[in-house]
Amino acid sequence: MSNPVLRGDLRARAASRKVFAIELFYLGVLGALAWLGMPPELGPQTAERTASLTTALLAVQVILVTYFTSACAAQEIAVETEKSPVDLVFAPFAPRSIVAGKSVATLVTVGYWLLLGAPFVALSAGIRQDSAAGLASAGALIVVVAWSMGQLGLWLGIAIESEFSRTLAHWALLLLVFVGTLALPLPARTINPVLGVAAAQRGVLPAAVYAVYVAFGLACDGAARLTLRRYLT
Amino acid sequence: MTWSPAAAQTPLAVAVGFDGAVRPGAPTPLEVRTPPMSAGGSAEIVVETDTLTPGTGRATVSTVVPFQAVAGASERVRVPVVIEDVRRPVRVRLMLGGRLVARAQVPLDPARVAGRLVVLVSEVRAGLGVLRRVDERAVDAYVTADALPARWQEYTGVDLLVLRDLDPARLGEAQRTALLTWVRLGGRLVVIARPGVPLPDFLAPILPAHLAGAHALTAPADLAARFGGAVPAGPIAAVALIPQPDAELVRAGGMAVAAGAAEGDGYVSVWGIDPTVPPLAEWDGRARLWAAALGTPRPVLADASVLADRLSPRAAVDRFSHVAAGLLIALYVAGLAVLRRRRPTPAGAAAGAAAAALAIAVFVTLAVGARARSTALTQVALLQQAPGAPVARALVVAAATVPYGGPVDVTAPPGAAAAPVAMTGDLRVRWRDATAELAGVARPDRPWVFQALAAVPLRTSAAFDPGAQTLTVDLGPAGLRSAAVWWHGLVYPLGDLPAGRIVRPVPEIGWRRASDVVADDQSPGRFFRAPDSQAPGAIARWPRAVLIGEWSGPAPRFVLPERAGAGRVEEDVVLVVPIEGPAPRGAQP
Repeated sequence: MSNPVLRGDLRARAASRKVFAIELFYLGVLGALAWLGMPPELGPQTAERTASLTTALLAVQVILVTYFTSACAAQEIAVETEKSPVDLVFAPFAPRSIVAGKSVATLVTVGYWLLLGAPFVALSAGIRQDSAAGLASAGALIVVVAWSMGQLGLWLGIAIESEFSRTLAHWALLLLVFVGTLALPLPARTINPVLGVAAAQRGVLPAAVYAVYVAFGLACDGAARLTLRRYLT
Repeated sequence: MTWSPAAAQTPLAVAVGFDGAVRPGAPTPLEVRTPPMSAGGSAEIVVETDTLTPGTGRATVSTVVPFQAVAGASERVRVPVVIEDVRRPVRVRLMLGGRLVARAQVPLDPARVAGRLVVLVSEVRAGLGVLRRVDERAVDAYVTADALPARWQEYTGVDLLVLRDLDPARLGEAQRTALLTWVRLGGRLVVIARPGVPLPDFLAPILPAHLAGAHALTAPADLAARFGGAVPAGPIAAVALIPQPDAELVRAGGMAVAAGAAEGDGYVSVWGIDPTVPPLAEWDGRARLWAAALGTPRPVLADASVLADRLSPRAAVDRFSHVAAGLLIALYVAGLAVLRRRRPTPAGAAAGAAAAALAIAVFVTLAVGARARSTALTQVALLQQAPGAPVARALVVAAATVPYGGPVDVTAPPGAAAAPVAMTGDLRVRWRDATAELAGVARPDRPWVFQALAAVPLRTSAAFDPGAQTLTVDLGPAGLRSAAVWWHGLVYPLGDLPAGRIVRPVPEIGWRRASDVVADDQSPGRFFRAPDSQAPGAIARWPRAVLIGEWSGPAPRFVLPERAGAGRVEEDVVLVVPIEGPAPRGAQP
């Protein structure tokens, strides 16, 4: 917590009414899904269906957490009193501290939101006796996907000044990751976050997928640092 | 699982079945002799067999027998298995402290897959070749006393057991009890008496004759007259028998040389002649002697799959848990909202995280409870009293319904051999002392059905008077509800019978058609329908009258683990008592 950017961002997010509304919306969706999906399905083809309620909850988590994380980082959702990286670079803070602080703040936010949603996943997984190892793998994938997309949002927030262009680019890239990857051939298709979460829950997701998202997040970090340095020269 | 590099080279001696002969679908003995153990500690033998399933194609049954290994010592472990798919090898692993120590694959010889199985306990591996002439599906097996099972269920694939060279001192108490129990519950046993060798003492309660003295027969014409073929010229070593009063006899040279009598549901013969060795080994008539000993295959009163079809498992949806979950979800979200609104600080967020951690524990507890309350076990135990013997054969068929699907654990009755009736996926059977614990993954849309075969101590009886007009029943400590006499497609309802000894008239009128009774889904008769039919099954052709009703006494049962003790258990217990005496005369619907 020695990083002042991280401290400031966490304080701002804890006090933000927008983040509060995001959390209420996120918990409301997960809670409604968990409750409505709780009664068992007793249809004749139930066993043939591959997606369980737990998988559905994890899929909703990866979509919502990833979107809200990257939208906050890209300032598409402006968190009250949270300073943008461009403002901070003139504060002055070193680009390395700014990016590190923002990056860790994103990671903490993702972990916090996952923890808030975990009781609903626990309810569904407990009732169906889903594997704890599968849940841990899926949770880890949600963290790396949401964090890396948050880093993408951070870079977009620095690199694109126009709010409209930034939002357009952000949505285009989100659609590319969540929809475009469905066009990939197998096994590369498991890079799709929703399919990846389902595969991780079954324990069949290759470690390379985690590595790809971590590498993508680190690359966005590097790009964000370089772009911030340009503001100083 | 950890694979030890040396595992493939480590020897693991495995003996499957009786002298390699197996009967598909029946409990089969399997013995594993381990190499000297490299260290002491918890070890286990895992035996994997394949079975075909309708939904998934192939599933694996893993039977696990744990034991305590001693460093440097070789262990001998008996594993009861049921082999369904004989085309696939049996796979055996030896695990020590969770690490693979040795493994083996045992392919099954197609020529040793038995339609009918005859086992000869003998020091000479010869004498049963003639069985192929008796029944082309018959397979002969030669074993020593050590190889005889210690669980009676492992004999159920055996059609005839022949004891020739049996040293009783080499049989343990469990092996003796298993042999006696199997005979009383339907096994066929032949004991070949040899001159100068006494019959085993432990068999005395079931033998139809005891020995007189050794003789030499010369061309006994009565053997040829009864069984055909020219009897080779003597002398033929024989032992004269002193039969029990009710024994069926074969005489030769004026003395009894074979005696046979029913024992419980089984049949025991003592032969004072030995057709496995010359000169009778060349006698053509021995085929008919063996055919008589082998008998015809017994009909099955009620098959496990038929019992399974008659169960009516219902998936119980737990509404309490659903309502409780709704309230708790609302409470959690509202509580977090209030907390974060009143304390919009990092400390408030930390308190929210703590609340989430607490909620995880609460929701997991709720989920486990909801699953337990929704799990149901519906079962039927069919007890078949062995006539005149203090034991009954118990077939228990149970269906576990878990509307959410997922892993299920069920414990079989103590001492029972347990197996799936219908496979829906891989199954693990773990033995703890004499109790099998079954673990598998249930599908949400269909019940998981399994069976157990056990012997229970029980002595009940029923007998008609010489005129077949009055029935005397002794039910011992418990009563019989909805009791009825079943005889050749007709049923005479007796109503509820109390415990103890009672006498009831059974007149010629008042009989009902069995087809009406088996069609009634509330009657215990529903378990005696023919497969995939509304008509009565083997009960309509049963050779003797039987008394059938719902037994209120104790019976073996499957149980859910205690941690899921809230699960619903429904049980029917049907008792079948054979009726001694004359058959009912003039019974009319």
